[in-house]
Amino acid sequence: MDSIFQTFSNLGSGFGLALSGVNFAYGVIGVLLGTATGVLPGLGPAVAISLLLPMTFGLDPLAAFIMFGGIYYGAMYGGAITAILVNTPGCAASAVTTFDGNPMAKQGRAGTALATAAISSFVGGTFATLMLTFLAPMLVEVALLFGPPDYFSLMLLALTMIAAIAGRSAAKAAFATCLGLGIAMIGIDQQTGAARMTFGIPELYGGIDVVIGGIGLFAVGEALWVAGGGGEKTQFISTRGARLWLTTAEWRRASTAWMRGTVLGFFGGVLPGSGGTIASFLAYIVEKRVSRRQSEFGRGAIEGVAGPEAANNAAAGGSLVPLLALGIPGSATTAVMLAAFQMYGIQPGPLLFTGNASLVWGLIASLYIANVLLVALNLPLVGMWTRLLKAPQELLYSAVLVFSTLGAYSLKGSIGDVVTVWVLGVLAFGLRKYQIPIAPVLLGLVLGPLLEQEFRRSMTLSGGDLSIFVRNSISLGFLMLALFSICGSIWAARSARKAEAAGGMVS
Amino acid sequence: MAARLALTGLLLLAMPSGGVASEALEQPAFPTRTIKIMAPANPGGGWDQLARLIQHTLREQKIVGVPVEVINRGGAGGTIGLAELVARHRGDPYVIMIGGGVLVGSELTHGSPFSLRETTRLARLASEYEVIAVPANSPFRDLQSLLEAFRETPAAISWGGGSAGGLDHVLVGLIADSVGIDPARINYVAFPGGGDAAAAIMGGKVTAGISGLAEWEGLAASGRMRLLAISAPRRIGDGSIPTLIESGVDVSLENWRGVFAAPGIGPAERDWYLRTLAQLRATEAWREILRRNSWEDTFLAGAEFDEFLDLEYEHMRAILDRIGLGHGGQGYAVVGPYFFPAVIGAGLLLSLLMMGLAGRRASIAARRSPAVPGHDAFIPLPKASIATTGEPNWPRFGFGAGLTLAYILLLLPLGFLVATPLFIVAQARVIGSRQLRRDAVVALLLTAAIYGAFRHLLTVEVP
Repeated sequence: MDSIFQTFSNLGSGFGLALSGVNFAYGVIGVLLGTATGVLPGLGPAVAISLLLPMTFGLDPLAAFIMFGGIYYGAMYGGAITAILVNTPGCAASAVTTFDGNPMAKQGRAGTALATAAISSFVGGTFATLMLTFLAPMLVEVALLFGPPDYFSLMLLALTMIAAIAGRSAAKAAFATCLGLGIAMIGIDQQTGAARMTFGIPELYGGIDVVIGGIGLFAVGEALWVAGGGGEKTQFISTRGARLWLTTAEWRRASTAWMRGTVLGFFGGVLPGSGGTIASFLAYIVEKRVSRRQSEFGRGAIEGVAGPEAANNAAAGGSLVPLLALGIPGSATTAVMLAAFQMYGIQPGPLLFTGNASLVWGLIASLYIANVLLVALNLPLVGMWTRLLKAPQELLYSAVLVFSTLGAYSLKGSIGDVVTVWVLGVLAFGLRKYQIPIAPVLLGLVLGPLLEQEFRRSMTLSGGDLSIFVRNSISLGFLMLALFSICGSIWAARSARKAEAAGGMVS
Repeated sequence: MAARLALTGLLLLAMPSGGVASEALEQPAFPTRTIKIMAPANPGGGWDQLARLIQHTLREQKIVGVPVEVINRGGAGGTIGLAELVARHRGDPYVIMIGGGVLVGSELTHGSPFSLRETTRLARLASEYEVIAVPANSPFRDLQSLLEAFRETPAAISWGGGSAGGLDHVLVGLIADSVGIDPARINYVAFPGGGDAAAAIMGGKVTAGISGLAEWEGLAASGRMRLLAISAPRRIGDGSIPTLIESGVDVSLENWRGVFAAPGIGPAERDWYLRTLAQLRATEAWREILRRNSWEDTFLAGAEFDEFLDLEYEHMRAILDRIGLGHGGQGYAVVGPYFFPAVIGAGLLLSLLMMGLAGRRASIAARRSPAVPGHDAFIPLPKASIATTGEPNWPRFGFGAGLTLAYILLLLPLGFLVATPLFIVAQARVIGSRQLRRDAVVALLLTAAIYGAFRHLLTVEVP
C-alpha cells in the first residue's frame, strides 16, 4: 500500500515537471514529428530519434526525452494513416492495419478507420504506461523467466497461427511463410559468423531488415501494383458517403479489441526482442479467432484495426520496461533511446529510479501526456487526412515510391537498401498476381531470426537435447497452445470445406 | 606519451618545410565545411556512443569551427562502414570513422576485402575492459571455482555474450586456452548484444557471461549479477573487481576504440586531426566522459599506434583461428548455420508441390461445375468495388517497375532534385495520367518540399 501512495506522489511531481511550458512544447513537437515520420515509409521512430539527437544537446534532458516519447508513440500511430488510406504502411508495425483499414477506406469509412486507429493508439499507449508505472518491477521478473526455449516456443506458436491471416489456401500460406523465413536467413549468422546466401555482396551481410521488408513488400508492392494497372478505374479513390466517426455498435466491438490488443501488445513489448510488428500480427490473429464475424475480417472489420493499433502502441510502452528497469533495450528504438540516455550521462537500470527519480517520473508522466496529445492533435486532423484520398492516384502512388526510396536510403545511406526494397516490391507483385498472400512473408521475415537463433541457443545450452523445450514449463505451455492452434485450424478448414460441399459459397 | 606525440607532431609539421607557408596562403585552412564522424554501427552501440560523445565535446568546447555530424553505417560488425570509408571516401578528409578491436575481429571473421590498415590511422582514444559475470545466486563465488568446473566438464558451462567472433567470444576463447581447454569446444551462446546476454544471466539461463564493464556495472551494483573478474591489466575504478591475471589467468584484453581517416588524405589534414584529438583529450569534459563510462584513457597516436595495430592483427588472427572462426570458419555450434535453411528449403518445395496439386484439384472441380468467384485473393474487396479496380498486367507493371528501378539507379548520379520530378511525371504517365502540365507543377513543388523537409528539418542525407 505504501508503495502505491509513493508511486502516486512521484507521478504527481512528474506531471508537474512534464506540464511546464518548455517540456509541454517539446511534447507537442515530438508527437507531430513522430506522426510525420510514421506516415513516411522507411523513416521510423528509431531513425527519427537518432537524427534529432544532436539537436537536443543543449536541452534539459527531460525536454528531450519527452520529445522522444512523443516521437515513439506518434510514429506508431502515423504508420496507420497511410496504411488505411493508400494501403502503404509507414512502418512494419502498421502493415497489419492495411488488412481491414484499407477496405474500410474503400467503403467510405476512412474517417472511422483513422479515428479508430487514433483512439486505439491512445488506449494502448495509456494502459501500457499505467502498467509500466505500477508493475515495472514485477514485469521485469516475469521477463527474466523467459529463456531461449521459451522464446522459441512462443515464436513457433505465432507461426502456427499464421493460417488465420492467410486466406483459404494453406499451401500458399505455407509457401509465403517459408519465403519470408528464407529471406530472414540471408546474412551473417549470429551464432557462428558464417555468411549465408550473401553471394559475396557486402550489403547483404547484415541481412534484410524488417523495415526494408515492410517498405518493399507493402508500400512499394502496392505502388507497383497500382502502376501495373491495379488501381481504381476511376481517377480518384472512392469515398462514398465518407463517415468520420464510429457508430455505437462499432465502439462496442472496438472496445473489446482494445483490451485484448493492449494486453497482448504490452507483454509482447516487455519481452526484449519481440516488438510492435509481432504484437500487431498476433493481435490481429487473436481478434479474428475470437470473433463471431470471422468472415468480415479482410473486408473492413473494425476489430482488425482496433486490436493491432492498440497492440503496437502498447508494445512501445512495454519495451520501455526493460529499458528503464534494467537498461536493456528490446528494440531498435529503445536502443537509440539508451544511447540518448548515455549521452546525458544517465545510465538506465535498477539504479535509475534511485539516482534520477525526478527524471524517470517526469518521463513516465510525459508518456501519458504524449498519448493524450496524440489523440487530441490527430482526431481533428482525420478530416484533413481523408481529403488526401481526393488526390489523383497517379501522383499519389508516384509520391509513395519517392518516399519509399528516400526512406530506405536514409536508413544507411545505401542505394543497395533501396534496390532491395525494389526487389521485394517486384516479388510482392508477383505473389499477388498468383494470389499468394504477402503478409505471411513479412511475418516470416520478422519471426525467422528469432525462431532460428533461439532454437540454436537452446540446443547449445542443452548440448543437443531436444527435451529442453518440454522441460521448461513456459516453453511447454506455448508448445501445447501451438498444438491446439494447429488442430483448430485443421478442424476449421475441414468444416468449412464440408459446408461448401453442401452447397452455397462460404465466405 | 604526450611528449612523444608533440615530437611526432613537430616532425610532421617540419617535413613539408618551406611548402607549408605558401600552402597556407594558397588554400583555405582545413576544415571549411561539415565534418562527418562515421560510426560503423547502428545507433546505440559503443562506436555510435563514442562518435556522439566526440561530436558533443567538440561542439561544447568549441574546439572546431565547423559543424560536426554523426552518420551511422551499421552492418557486418563494422566492415560495411569500413568498406565505405576506404572505397567511397578515398582522399576525402571530411569523413572520419570510429573503429576498434572489434572491427579488427570482424575484418578477419568476415574476410573483408578492405582493412583498417588501409586507412589513415589517427589515434586510439579510449579502452574499456570486459567483465565475467555469473547470476546472483550462482554457486560460483569466484573465478577460480568457475574455471575448475570448466576444466572438469567444459560442456557443462555455458557462456553468454555478443555475436560470434566478437570480443566477448574471443575472451572466452583466450580463457579456455589458458586453462588448457580447446577453444573450439566452448559452449558459447551468442546474443544480439550485452542487454540480451544480461537478461540471460539474470534469469539464470547461462552459467556465465561476458560483456563490457559499463554495460553491467549498474546491474551488478544492484545485486542482480555477480562480477567475478575483469580483463584489465590492473584493477580499475574502485578496485573491487579482481583482474583475470590476479585470479590466475594470464589474459588481459582491452576493447580499444579509436579514430581513423580515409586513405589518401594530405599530411596537413592528418596533422589537423591529430592536434584536434589531442585537444579534445585534454579537456576536463572529456575526462568526465571517460570517468562516467568507466573508460580508460589510452590515447595513442603516430608510429606507436601503427605498431599496436599490427600486433592486434597478429593476436586476433591467432585466437580466432583457434576458436575456429578465422577466415570465415564455422566455429562451435550444436546446430549449424545450414540446418534451418535446409528445413525452409524443404518447406518451400513441399508447399509448391501442394500448391500444384491444389491447383489441379481446383481445375478438375471447375470443369465439373461452374466456377464460383473465389476469394483467395489476399485483399478481398467489398463486392461493390470489385468492378471499379483494374486487373494489373505484366507489361504495364514492367514499365512501372523498370521506371522505378531507373529512378533508384539514377538517384545518385543525377541527384534528388533532378531525378525526382522527372520520375514523378513519368510514373504518373505510366499509371495513366494525361495531364502533363499539372503533373509537372506538382512534381516540382513536391520535390522541393520533400527536399527541404528531409534535408533541413530532419537532417537526412539526400543525394
